Amino acid sequence: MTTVSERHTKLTMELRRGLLVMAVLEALTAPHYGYSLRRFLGDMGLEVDEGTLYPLLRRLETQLLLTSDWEVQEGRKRRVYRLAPAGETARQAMLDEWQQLNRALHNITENTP
Amino acid sequence: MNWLERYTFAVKSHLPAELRQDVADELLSDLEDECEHRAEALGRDLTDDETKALLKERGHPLLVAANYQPRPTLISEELYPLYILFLRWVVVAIALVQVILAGVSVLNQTEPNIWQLIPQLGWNILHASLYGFAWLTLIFYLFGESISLTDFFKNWKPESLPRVTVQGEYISRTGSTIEVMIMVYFVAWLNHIVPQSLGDNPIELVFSDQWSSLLPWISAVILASVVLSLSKLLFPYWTRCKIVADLLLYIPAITLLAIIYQWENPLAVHIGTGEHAKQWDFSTGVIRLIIIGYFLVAAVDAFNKVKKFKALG
Repeated sequence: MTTVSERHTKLTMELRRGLLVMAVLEALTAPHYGYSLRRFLGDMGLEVDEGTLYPLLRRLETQLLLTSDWEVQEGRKRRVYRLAPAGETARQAMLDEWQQLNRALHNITENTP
Repeated sequence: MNWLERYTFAVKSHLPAELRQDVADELLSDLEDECEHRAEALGRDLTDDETKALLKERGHPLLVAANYQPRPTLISEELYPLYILFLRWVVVAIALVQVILAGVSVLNQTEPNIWQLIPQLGWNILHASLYGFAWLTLIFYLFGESISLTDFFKNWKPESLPRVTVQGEYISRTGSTIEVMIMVYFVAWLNHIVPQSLGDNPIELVFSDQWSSLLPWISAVILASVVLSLSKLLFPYWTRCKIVADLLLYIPAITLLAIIYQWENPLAVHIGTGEHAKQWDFSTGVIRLIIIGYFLVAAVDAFNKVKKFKALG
C-alpha cells in the first residue's frame, strides 16, 4: 500500500519532471557541459541527480531541442550542450505556458477560502 | 585501472553498442569533475573509500545504464483496461475448457486417478494460460503499434454521443468480451486454424459433409458478429444503429439455422483416441430442439431490442 509520504514523493516528482525540462532549456541559453549544468542548477536551488539529467539531455537532443559537441576544456574532454533553434522556440512556449499556469494557480489560491 | 574507469566500464557493458562509448566518456568526465570538486573542498585527493562512496551514491551500473534506454511498453496505456478485461476472461475460459476436458477424461477412464488428475489439471491450466497470455499480449501489441486510439477517435462527433437512457442500460463489457472470445475461437476452430482436437484425450465435433457448403456463410456471419461485439466493447451503450445491426444479424443466422434444421444427423461428438475412441451422434431431434431453443431466445431478445429501439426514439 502506498504511504502518504510515498504518494507525496510521487506527486512532487511528477511536478518536477515537467519543470526540469523547462529549467534545463532555460539554463542552456548559455552553453554548459553536463557537470557544470548540474552545478548551475544546484546553485540556483534545483538539485538534479545525474541519472535524471544526462538521459534528459540526450532525449532533448534526440528531439532536436539541443545540440552537443565534444570540446576540450581545462584539459578535459567535455560534451557541451547548446540550445538549438527548436529548443529556443520550445523554451519560449514553455515559459509562456508556465507564467499563465502560475497566474491561474495564484488566482485559484486567492479565490479559494 | 582506477575505480572510475572500472565503474564506467561496467556501465558500458549494459548499454547498447551505439550509445556505449559516448555515454561512458560523458559519465567518466562527470565523475572526474565531481571528484575534483570534492577534492578541492577537502584540500586533498579523495581516498579509495571516498571514491567508492561516490560511486555507491551514483547507483549500480545496471541502473545507471537503464536510465539511458527507452522504456517501451508492450501494451499502450489506452488499450490497457481492455487488455486486462480480455486477459481475465481468457484465463477463465481456458480454465473452464481444461476442467471440461479433465471431466471428459475421467468419464472415459475405467479407474480414474484423481490425485494424478488434479496436479495435471493445474499444470494444464497454467500451461494453456501462459500460451493465452502470450498470444493476447502479441495481438494487443500489434494492435497498439498499428492504431493510435487517440488518432482513431480524433474525428469523433458529439452527435454520435448516446441518448441518456435508464441507469444500467450500458452494454456489459464482460458479456461483449466473452462473445468475442467464443466467436473468434469458434470460427478459428471451424476453419481448422486451431486444432479441432484438444489435449491428450481429444474431444472433437464431427460435422456431416453438408456443412462444407455453409462454412463460408457461417464464418461470415460470425465475423460480422465479432465486429459488432468489438464495437460494443469500444462504445458500450445502445444506439438505434447498434440495435438495428444486432437485429439484422439475426436474419442470416436464422436462415442458416433453418437450413441446418432440415438436415439429418448433422453432428457427432468424437471422444478419445485409438481403441478407447467413442463417437456419439447427436440425434436430429436434439439438434432441432437446440435450434428451436435458439429461435425462442432470439425472438425474446429481438422483442426486447425493439422495445429498446422505441425507448431511444
